[in-house]
This record gives sequence, C-alpha cells and structure tokens, in this order.
Amino acid sequence: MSRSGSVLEERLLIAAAQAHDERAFEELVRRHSPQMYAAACKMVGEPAIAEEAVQEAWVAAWKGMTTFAGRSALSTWLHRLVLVSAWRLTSAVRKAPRPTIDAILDDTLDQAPSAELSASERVEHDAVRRAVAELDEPLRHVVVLYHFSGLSYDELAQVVGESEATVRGRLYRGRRQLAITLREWRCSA
Amino acid sequence: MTDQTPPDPASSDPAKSGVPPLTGRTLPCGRNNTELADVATDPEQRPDEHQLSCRFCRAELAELASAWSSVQSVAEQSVAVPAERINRIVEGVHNRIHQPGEYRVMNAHTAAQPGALRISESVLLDVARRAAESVHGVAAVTGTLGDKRIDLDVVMPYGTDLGALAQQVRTRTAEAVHVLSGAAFGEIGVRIVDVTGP
Repeated sequence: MSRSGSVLEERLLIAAAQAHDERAFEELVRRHSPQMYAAACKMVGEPAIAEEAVQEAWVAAWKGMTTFAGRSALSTWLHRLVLVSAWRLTSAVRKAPRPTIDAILDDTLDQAPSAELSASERVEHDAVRRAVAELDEPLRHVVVLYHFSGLSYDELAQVVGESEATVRGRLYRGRRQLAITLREWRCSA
Repeated sequence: MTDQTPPDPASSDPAKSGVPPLTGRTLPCGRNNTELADVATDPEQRPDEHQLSCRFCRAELAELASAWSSVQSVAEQSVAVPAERINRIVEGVHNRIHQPGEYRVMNAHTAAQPGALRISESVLLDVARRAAESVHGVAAVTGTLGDKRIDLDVVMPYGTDLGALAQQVRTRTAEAVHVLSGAAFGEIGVRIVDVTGP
C-alpha cells in the first residue's frame, strides 16, 4: 500500500476507534505496539514493565480516543502515553532492585548482533546501558527518545510536553553526562 | 481542540530535582572535561583554539569521542520485539477494554453510528438458545459462551438424523447471533445430552 493510502487507512481506523469500534482499535494496537514496546523497553530497561506500560498506554488511549484531535501524529501521542505509563510504573517499583544488565540484554536486544560482539565490545555495550539507566529520568527520557528511538526535536517536545529549547537543553546535559560517566568508568577500569 | 494527554511527569528540571550538577574533571591544562564532552557529543560544537592545540585536551577529546561512539553504537541496535509479546499486549488490551459479560453490537446499523450499543452475554445466549430450538424437534437447549465459540447442550428427537439436525442447529444459531450482534462465532459446539422418545 502507498504511504498516502496507508495514512488514509490509519485515519479511518482512528475515526472508527473514536466511535468505539473495538476492532478498529485493536488493529491500531497491533500496528503501533511493536514501536511502543521497543521505545518502552529502552526507557525502562525491563521487558515486563515495558509490556505493562504499553498496555496501560493503550487503555488510556481507548479512554481518551475522542480527545485525540490529530494535531500530532498518532504515534507521537502514543509515545507520550507510553512515557507517562512507563514513568508511573517505574516510580512504583523504584525501590525494587534494578534489573541486571544481563536480564535486559537477554530479553531486549537482538541476539544476532550480540553474538557477533567481541568480549570487550560486550563489556562496552553493558557499560553504555548501565550509564543510560543511571541518568536522571528527565534526561534519560529525552536521550532514549532522541538517540535510541529516533524522534525529532519537534516530536520529542510534543512527547515530553516541553518546549523544543527545554528538550534540547536536556539532551545536551544527558549527552554530556553519558560521555563523562563512560569516560570515568574507562579510567577506573 | 488539542491532543490531550496526561501531565508530563518528566517536566521537572533535573537541576531542581536534587541531582547534583556534573562537575567533571580538571585537566592539567586547567580546562574541565565537561567542556570537551559537549564538543565530543554535539556535532554542532567545534573545539576552540586551545582545545585544538593542547595535548591534554586533544587526548581527553579523543577518549570522550570514543565513549560517545559506544553510545551511538548501542543506540543503533534494534530491540527484539517478540511476536508473542505483541500478541500478549493485544490480548491484554482487549481484555482490559472489553466489559466482561457484554458484547459490542457491530452490524450494518451500528457501524456508522457514534457511541456504543452493547448486548449482554445472557441475551446473546438466549438468542442462540431460541435459534437452536427453532429447529423442529430440538428442545431444552442450554449453552455457554466462550471466546468466539458457543457451546450448546440440546435434547433431540429419537429416530431422526442427529448429525443433520445438529448441523441445522449450528447454522441457525450462527446466523441468529450474527444478525443480532455482528459477532462471528467461528465455532458452535453441539452436545446431545438426551433424546426424547416417540
């Protein structure tokens, strides 16, 4: 199907879902969940929580479907809902021990590229994930959404509900902190 | 009208949220490596003259650029999205938005209408029972409703072709519930629990 055809079909699905058509809504769930799950995984680092965040986001989307006016792309709106759910869920379990990097690796990353990594590269990648996980939440969200999920500045601003200047500032700080943290870890290794 | 979303939980500035500012490390030349981290991670930033000529800064910049390239390398890796996990999400969402004991009526009359028309499970079963009993000789039908299937317990007349009668029950039941609700029950199970004598 052409891109314009696909966009039209999505608009029809959205309109039907706004009229409480469960089947149209489920089609949207099936289409968008993979991207939402991948983004949630990178945000929270724990597949089970990511799955729950996606489900919660969809329930919120179902309840608020009529408030979606189409000013932003549906995917942007859904990213925001996932971000809110992920934040709420991670806040609820913040006192629980963090999942191990191995657990995250095993469940969230393609095994093929991992298998091709050398031992030193694997250590390096583990360190990156640990450094990302240790970023303060507002910084982690923008870093993950921009660098890992590929959102634009504009989309990022819409997703986190802040101005573009604010998200650029957070990205700036997040990148700086990541580079310095990894550099220090290398020095002390 | 705007796309309404819940308030952003991440709107607080990290500087105001108790997170200590990043201090970095001072190099022998007196520069702090946080300045170099900005150069290493932001493609729009260029090193100044000192950073270009100072051996400490150049070495630190190379280390930070290497650290940042690791981040980019990990960022480019894709996340595995197992199909079973997506299926579980779809099913979980369905269960959460679907009212137990109710079916949404989706047919030609309701499809173009806003709002929802729901039918209770008991009414749907009653329709299935009546449709089955409309087959000549079939009586005393009870049933259960499952996911996309209806199971009926029936009493049939002795001396008839039970297989043919059961097929009639299936066909009429499927048609009746489809006309009423638009729901397609792929399987209608018929169990003969008794036969009535002549």
